[in-house]
Amino acid sequence: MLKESDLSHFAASTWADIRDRMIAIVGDACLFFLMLFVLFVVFLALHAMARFGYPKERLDTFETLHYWAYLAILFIFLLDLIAKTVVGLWRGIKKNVSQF
Amino acid sequence: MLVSSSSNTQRGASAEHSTLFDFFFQRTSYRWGTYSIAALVIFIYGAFNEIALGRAGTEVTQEALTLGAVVLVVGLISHAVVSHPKASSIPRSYGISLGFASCVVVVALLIANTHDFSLTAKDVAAQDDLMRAVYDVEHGKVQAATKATRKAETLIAAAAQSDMAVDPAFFVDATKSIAKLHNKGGDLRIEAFNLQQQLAAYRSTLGQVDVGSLSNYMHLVCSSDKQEWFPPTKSFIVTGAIVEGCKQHIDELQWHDVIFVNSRIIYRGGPLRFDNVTFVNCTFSVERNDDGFKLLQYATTPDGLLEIVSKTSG
Repeated sequence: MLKESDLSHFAASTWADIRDRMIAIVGDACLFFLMLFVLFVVFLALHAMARFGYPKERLDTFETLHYWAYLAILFIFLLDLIAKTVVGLWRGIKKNVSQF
Repeated sequence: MLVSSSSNTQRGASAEHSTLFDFFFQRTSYRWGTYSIAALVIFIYGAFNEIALGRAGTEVTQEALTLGAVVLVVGLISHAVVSHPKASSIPRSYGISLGFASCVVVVALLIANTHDFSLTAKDVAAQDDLMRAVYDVEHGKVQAATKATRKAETLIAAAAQSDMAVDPAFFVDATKSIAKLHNKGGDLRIEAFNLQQQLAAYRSTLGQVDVGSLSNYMHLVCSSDKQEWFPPTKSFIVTGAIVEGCKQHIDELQWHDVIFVNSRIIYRGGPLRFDNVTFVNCTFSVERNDDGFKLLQYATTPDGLLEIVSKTSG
């Protein structure tokens, strides 16, 4: 049976272990989500413009710009997430090996 | 002393973490600087290629993402170099020269890629858009198909302007795809018609004829592109002729073994018979109905015989 002090010690040591990684991952993810959200608002605006009869040829150009902005952000976000996972795991493995 | 002890502490910290870990988890401003540059490169490259050069999105996506990944790797390498303990001993001018050389290489690669595209890849890009349009139609996405068809039209017009050589199989495949789009009706029918007209003109720009070697052919030459050759009777059969530089109405006639050269072909929707007719450097002004579409298909992929019996409406 674990004591309360053991549990809090476990939680504190786990947090201390992952704190840097958590801050970096969550902080970056928040920024990326904010950018993707702004792009989603732009997407809604384009739909609204289409409904109000904005010239289709120009909307096509705007849609192309929107697509590339979305692709650029999403690609870097996913690449960053995967790289962070791999690097974080690798560091954990290295740390565990060095402890033995 | 104070400076020395703080630098020792920093070295101790960096020894604990790897360069990669520092980049992804510690150096927020450096990481975001790299990400911003990579995102900007992907955005500018993709938007420029698709909007200004009219290239197919799928092809450009692959290149833009590769370029973005390269920028990220360069950012990682430069971070590793900068954070190296001996980095301060490298002269600043080396870094500036290296950065300048990298920019020159990237710009040269982009220019080379654009140049290559303008010479060889337009037909592939147009076919890519056409295939996408057909796929969209088959999946009920008519609006997307119309957009892809318009894009293919731009690409083919550009290819025709540069007289870019292309495999004849391209015209056969493209004509089949356009027929599927034309059958769908609505706006897509109009776009498909325009595209077929563009394709017929493109095909004729690639045609060649050695007039001197065709001595048994009658040579009908117009002195200006507003002049027309008039047949002696209605339903006249024109046989073995080269019609050059004319604004030629072709309906109500039968044309056998005829080559139209540098002419403007006008079809108003009447009956017509083509047997072994080819077009070299011609443009087409054609009635917008099914018969006009058939004529354009024939001009794009001549297969011997075309017979339009009566006037139909489209």
